[in-house]
Amino acid sequence: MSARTTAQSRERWYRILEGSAPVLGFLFAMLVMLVVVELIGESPSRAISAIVRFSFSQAGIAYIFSQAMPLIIAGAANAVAFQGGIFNIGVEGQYLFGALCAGVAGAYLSLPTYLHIPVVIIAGMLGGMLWVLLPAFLKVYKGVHEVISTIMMNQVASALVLYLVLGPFNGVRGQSLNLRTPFLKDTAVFPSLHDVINSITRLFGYEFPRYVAVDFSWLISALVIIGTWYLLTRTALGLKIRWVGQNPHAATYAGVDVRKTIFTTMMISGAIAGLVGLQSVAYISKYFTPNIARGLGFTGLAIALLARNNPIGVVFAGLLFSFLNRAGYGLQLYTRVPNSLIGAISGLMILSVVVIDQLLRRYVRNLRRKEVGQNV
Amino acid sequence: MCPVAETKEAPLIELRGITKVFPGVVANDDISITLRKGEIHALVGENGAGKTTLMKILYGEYKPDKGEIRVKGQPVRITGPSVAISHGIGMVHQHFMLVPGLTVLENIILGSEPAKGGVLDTAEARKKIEAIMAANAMPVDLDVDVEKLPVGLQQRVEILKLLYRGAETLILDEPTAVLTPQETNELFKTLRALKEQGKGIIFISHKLDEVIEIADRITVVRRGRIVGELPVQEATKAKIAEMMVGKPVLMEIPVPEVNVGDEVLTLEDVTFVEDGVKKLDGITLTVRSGEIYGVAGVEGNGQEELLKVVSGEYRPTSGKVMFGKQAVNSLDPLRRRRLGLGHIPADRQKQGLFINMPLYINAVVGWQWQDRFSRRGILNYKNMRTTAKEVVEKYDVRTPSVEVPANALSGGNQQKFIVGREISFDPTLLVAAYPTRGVDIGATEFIYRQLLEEKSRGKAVLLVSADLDELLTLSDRIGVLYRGRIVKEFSREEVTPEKIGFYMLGGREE
Repeated sequence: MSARTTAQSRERWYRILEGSAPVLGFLFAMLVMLVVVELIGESPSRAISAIVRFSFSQAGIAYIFSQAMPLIIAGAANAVAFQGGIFNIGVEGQYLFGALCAGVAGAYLSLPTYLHIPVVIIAGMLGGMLWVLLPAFLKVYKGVHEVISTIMMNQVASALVLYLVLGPFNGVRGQSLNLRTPFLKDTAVFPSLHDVINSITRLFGYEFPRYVAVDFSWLISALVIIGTWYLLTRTALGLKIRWVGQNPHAATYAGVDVRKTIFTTMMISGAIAGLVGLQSVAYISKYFTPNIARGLGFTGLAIALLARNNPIGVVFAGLLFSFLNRAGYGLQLYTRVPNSLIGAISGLMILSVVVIDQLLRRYVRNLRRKEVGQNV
Repeated sequence: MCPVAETKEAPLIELRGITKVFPGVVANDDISITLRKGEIHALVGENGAGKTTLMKILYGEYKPDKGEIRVKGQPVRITGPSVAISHGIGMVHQHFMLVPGLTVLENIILGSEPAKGGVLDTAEARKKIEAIMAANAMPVDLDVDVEKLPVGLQQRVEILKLLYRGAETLILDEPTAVLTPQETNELFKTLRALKEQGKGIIFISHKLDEVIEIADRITVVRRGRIVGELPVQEATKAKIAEMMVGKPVLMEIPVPEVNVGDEVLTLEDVTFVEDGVKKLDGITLTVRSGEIYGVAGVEGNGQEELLKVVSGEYRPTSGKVMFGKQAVNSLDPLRRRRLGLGHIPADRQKQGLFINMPLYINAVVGWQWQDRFSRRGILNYKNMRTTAKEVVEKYDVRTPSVEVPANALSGGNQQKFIVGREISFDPTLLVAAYPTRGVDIGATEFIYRQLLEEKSRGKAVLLVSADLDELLTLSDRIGVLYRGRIVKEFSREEVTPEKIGFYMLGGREE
């Protein structure tokens, strides 16, 4: 019994060691950033104080959390796909099209609130799924690599939403340069969650200001994270997804229908991706516009990578990226350091996380084998 | 321990009092061995006995905690493989280190390319390699893609690589594990030629027949210690096996008499065509309950396709596959598993395990659909852990816990784990593909017993193997597979290795 518990505690220590790559990578990247700041001729301490001042003010913290929500959803969409061995570069196009669908459902349908909001959410998910359907079919039946097909679908999405918003779903009819769909009906607009959230955070002496989006999409993000975590770690489907992702040969041997599983994985990823744009459409602007924030899908790839495809990790990685965004603006505003440095540092961070991760894994593997006392 | 005879010339390699401790395990405990010029010295022992650790110390991949290495009488410090090769020590690993896409010549010179004024001078290298090939009777076409070569020739390329770098001591780590009997014979010819030229060879193996055939001296290691060293003249299989395991091993496993029952697996005229090639060509065979049907043949004659047609991964192009009286042509692997198919796969790492996942998950691979592991789509980890612990305990899998990933286990233990897993689910038909490949003698005997036990319990076993001894020991009937056809079927009574060999190589009845 005691032998087993020490084995288990050692195993836990190994897991912690294996999991510490993101932290080490972050620290390394920050260190490099300070060196670069020094080289630019700005004082590192000023840079740090600029970041801290701008990011950890009341507004700063609120924005970091609020703007992390779409990032977290995008990260989860990518993480699920990665777990199933799928490289879903198309989250970008999927959320664009999903956001359009949500915007259209919110603007054109007339429903009571308790139906309208779920319908908007489902429309977003269906839009995302529709946009991954073709790549999924091509992958499963023709062996077309999803990276190629989803990238192409991203382009198609950009063009199509532009056409649709200029044409059938135009909400401005030439009266404004701001191309958009009609405003959402009041019944479709996400409720604010300020009161709920603040009643909790007030205990810690903090309140989210009204001008920052604290809305229904927070709940959606939470559900997405809990849902993907549960799916991947607790369900038979999740196990199949991970098996196919790790080793399709062994999955076939075990009797898993690999093609069906890949198809399912892509659909789930697309459905989650379809939720990314909802905060913008259903709360902030209350319409869909082709000028909606782009690139969240790609940031989602980085987030999933940083989180090593762990849904819980995605929350932290999403917050981190949101913080980095904010930090970039802080640097730009208060120092002579350009905002783009943060982009480079994010890249460096991902790179060093990947490298450190591999090094740690090898180290732990050797430790394990030595422990077993076998031919290493 | 036998005293080492003093010779005038200092031995090629001398290991003195090598000790290496890993946390919790003494991998090598005061090991001393010598290797003389023109000698083949076999190192035998079970998995985890410390052979590989010792060789890695000699090759510079590990640093010994204690002890000394001498090369030709001079004490040396070997800090890495490049230092080892500079002292004339080369190692052929179990898994070859060749670069696919490069030719044989390029592979051989890779890392020590001859250059003239900065330009690659392959003519020089070619001459040198051809001289080595001629001297040792080991021809290889230098200009083909190394990937296109059969395994036996790839291994030859590995040996050439070492000779090209001037190795005088060759360490071969289980070189025959991947070879057919014919390729093994070729390898032995090469080794004898190398010996004639005064090279020293350390030969690591579990296969005692081969050790006795090729070695001059045999050193047996058990649990990190040398239990004995003997000249080959004094060695018998039973004696070595007993030294290895520490207790007498029954080499002749009694084969139980079992009443053969109904047909469990039937293949009727099964043909499988892939890319226009008939991989299986009209195969008809039956396996009955209480019977082990062995499939012999040189690898690549349709074994893989036969296994996949039975497991359900491939659908036959024509013909009929039946479990009992039920046609299963259209059933996928999962449905066949539900009908009671157990499957020890040909490639344990690629097929049989998810090597990065913990053992408790690997314990249910292929059986994950059972109610006790997932009910209404929700996994039951508790039952998985219980099952994993049962397999680990019952089948003597050496692991600190069921929480570790499968890649923390040695190959032999991975195999025991898979065999245990498949048998513990009590299949009606057990497909066993190369069940003891790369597995030591203790584990091999254990696996044989398990397979025979299955037979006694009235199960049907389809055994595909490249090891003739294994087939002869276990099978009630043996079919010889040649170019996708069962060209001959033998009963246990009439079969001899020579007869099988004749048909394996494409011989025909007069």
